[in-house]
Amino acid sequence: MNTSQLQLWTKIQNFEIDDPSSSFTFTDRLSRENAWGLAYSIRAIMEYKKFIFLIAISDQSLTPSDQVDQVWHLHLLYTQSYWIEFCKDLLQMEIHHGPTKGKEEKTLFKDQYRATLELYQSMFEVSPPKDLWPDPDTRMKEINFTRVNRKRNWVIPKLIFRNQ
Amino acid sequence: MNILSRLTPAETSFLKEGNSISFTYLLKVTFKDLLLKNVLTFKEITPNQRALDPSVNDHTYVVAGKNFSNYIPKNHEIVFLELYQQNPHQLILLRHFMKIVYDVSKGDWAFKKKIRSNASIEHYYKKSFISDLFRMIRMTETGKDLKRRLSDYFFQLDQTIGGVFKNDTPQATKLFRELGGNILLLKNFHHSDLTKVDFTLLKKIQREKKVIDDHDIWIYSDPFYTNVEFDPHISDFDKKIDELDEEANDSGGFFSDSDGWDSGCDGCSGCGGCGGCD
Repeated sequence: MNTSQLQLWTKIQNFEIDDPSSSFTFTDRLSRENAWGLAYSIRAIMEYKKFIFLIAISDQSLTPSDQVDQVWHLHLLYTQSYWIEFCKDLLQMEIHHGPTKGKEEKTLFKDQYRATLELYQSMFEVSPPKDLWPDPDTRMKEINFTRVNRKRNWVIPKLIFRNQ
Repeated sequence: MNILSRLTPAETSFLKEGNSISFTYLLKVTFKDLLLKNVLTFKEITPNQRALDPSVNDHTYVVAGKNFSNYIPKNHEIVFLELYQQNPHQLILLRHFMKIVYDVSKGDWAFKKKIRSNASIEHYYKKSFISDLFRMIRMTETGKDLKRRLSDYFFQLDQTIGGVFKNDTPQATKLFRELGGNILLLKNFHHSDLTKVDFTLLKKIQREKKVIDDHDIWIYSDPFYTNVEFDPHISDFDKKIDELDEEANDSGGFFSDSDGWDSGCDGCSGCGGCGGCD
């Protein structure tokens, strides 16, 4: 990381997504909507910030993990925070979210995801944490999510048998 | 009592009071001890939003302190340090930190079990499957003896401590060397009392010894604070932990996932619609 990249990363790292005066913060909402623990959500937000940093310094198209994408989606809903405070004031660039156009792009996204992991490793000099950045195969396989009304439904994990 | 310099205040309290000591008290005293050791610290950051709205206050974060990287945590302290072990640069809002600590501690029995499992005190407790099954805590004879000695020692100290911290720096420093973080357990202790401790002397002693032995007082020679500047944050922590405990008790037991603390959202002030994204 060169000096200007380091400065940008420090600014992004110090950017506060939450409104601490609010009784139900961004992090609280992220935890509830994804059934994540608060600690996991806080780590996911940090990984999201790293991802945005990578986008800001790179010319190539990058793809986030699903976990990081969930943070991004929610941040996009906080329009004042995302577009004004984060993009306009801090990054001084507009970062748009581009959803997939279908199956035909699967290979493209897989390659982009792989490139993202490599760029992450080279910039931060650590491997991306596996629980927030799964390997490319898992990333492209585990994409079947549904919004569930938990007042009316139970969520029971499938049993997974593996030959290991 | 030499042993005190090797015990955290949570361990000492648990040895002294047994299972009657409240779990929230143990959390509070552990947090204060980690601050005192400079393993954790507070950091105030002025938010970007201040430029638009001058009334916005600084945000208070809990971050890894100077001694974090050298510190070998005891089992019950990992609850407070886990996130920083994964990322030493992690900034955690104080309000989130409190919830995480409460959740990760997993309640009274689990947290006390972590304390009992520390190598420094585990031999003072009897271990058996039956005790675990019925959640009974039984001490060994040596444990019972230590419990008695600790009670007597702190009782006497509380009676006689009087003005030491007000007028007598050498005495205050000597006492601090003996007690370490256990100083937090004194009935009339106030954070401002630490201004009477000569930390430069403690550092000098440490340098002269040139070794870090199991007398781990060295970690206190560079405390995070010696004044009352951060007292309000510490009080916030204490208050929030009590609130979380009350909520957990009201909801019929300890909770550890996000369902427990919110049953719905506050609604939305409306938006101008969405044209989709690129």
